[in-house]
Amino acid sequence: MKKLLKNIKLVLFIAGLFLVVFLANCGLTPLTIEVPSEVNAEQVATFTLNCGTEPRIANTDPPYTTKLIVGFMVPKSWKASQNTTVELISSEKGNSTLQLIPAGEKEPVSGLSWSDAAKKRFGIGPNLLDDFEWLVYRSVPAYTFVNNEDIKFKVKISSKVGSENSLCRLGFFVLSSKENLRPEDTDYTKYAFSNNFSVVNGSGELVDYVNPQLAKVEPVKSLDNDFVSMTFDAGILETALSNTDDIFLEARGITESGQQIAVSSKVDKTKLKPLGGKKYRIDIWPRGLLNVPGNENLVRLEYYFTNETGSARVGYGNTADPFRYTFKCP
Amino acid sequence: MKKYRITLKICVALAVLSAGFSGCSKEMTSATVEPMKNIAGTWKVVQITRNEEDLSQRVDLSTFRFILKEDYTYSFVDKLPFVVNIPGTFNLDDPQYPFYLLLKPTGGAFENKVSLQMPVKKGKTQLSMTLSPGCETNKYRYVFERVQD
Repeated sequence: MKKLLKNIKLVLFIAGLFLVVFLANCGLTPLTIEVPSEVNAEQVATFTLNCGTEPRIANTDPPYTTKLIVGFMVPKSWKASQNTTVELISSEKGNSTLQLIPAGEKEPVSGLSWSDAAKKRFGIGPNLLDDFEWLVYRSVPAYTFVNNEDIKFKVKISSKVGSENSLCRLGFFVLSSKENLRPEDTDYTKYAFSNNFSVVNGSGELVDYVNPQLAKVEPVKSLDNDFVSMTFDAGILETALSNTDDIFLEARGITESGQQIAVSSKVDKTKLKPLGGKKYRIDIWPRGLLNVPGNENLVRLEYYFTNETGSARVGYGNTADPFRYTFKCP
Repeated sequence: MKKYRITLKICVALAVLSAGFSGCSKEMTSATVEPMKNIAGTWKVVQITRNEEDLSQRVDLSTFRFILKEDYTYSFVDKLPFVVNIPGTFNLDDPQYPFYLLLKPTGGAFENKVSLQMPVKKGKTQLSMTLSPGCETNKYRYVFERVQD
């Protein structure tokens, strides 16, 4: 009896081992990416994806035929769908230009658009501010693979970067169209996020998507007639407000004509609500909060976070300078 | 008692079935006419989302009212970010199957077009509007219900 049990265990162990080896070798090889650390604003940046295939197909009848799908994630302000080319470079399968999958086409597994499906699966990676879009491209030709046809291929993405100075981490994925974006699949879907990527010599203040900020404003792009959410993260460093949970917004709006409108009263509508983890948030409608006249628009907001009496206040980088937010659209 | 229940069930089933059949024959003789949508009333906001993020519990919606009158004029009580902020006249793009609410502020040259749906939730007709009062890239959904008072 003992011997039989031992044999069963051995068989199971070998089967398990075989399965692990089989799975580990199946599909696409790990993705590596080549991304420059900085590019001048409004110039074309080139990103290279290195990948390969490892087809270990149990049943090759009918043969495994698939298209290549490539996705990449950039700040929305780049308007990258209008300024990007994606090319497959392969000595075995030939070069070809991939095409953007139309917004109306649904990814079959999630039922979402390809862009939303990618966002659901990969999110925004290590970035902290959500103002990104995933663009998903597909090869026009389909490619047939025989068993053990291990090849390497490259994908070259050329994209004109935006006009704003920014620091972010870009996202990339490759997958087989036959498999789609199955949530559990890690064999036929390979993804990677870049190291820090900067757009330099552009316009405006630096938009830092990567580093934790004392203050952040969402949506990243908005006007004074939007609802704007302002978050104060007191957990980042020791500030004059570290010992209180009663935190208020003090703000000054600057209009197109140069008029300044301030709000400094410590009331319910200027009080931030705790989110836990020493984070606090306030949702404001800037026009309403500052009572902006109908014929004026705010161009900019300067603001501090303060305690209930206003005796302690925190500004940009924990200095006496205010945080600044410019109202503009992408 | 059990017999009585079964008989009752059969009666109810027959009643439903006959009603269904009579409905069919009626439909074959006369086409149903979709009634004109009446959206007049005082409306309050019960839900707001911004780019699919629910803000309903985070912003004060208690005092804002959107008043649509039978004479096709509209006005507001209090203010929220909206496509128009002064009173004027309104219309529907199609009074039977509306897709858009058209708002023309008094003295304004343009009609502002707001995407409109009219779902019924818990027996109450709602107005669900999709709009971008600030940047076009920020999409809001305002869900209104009639004020019962």
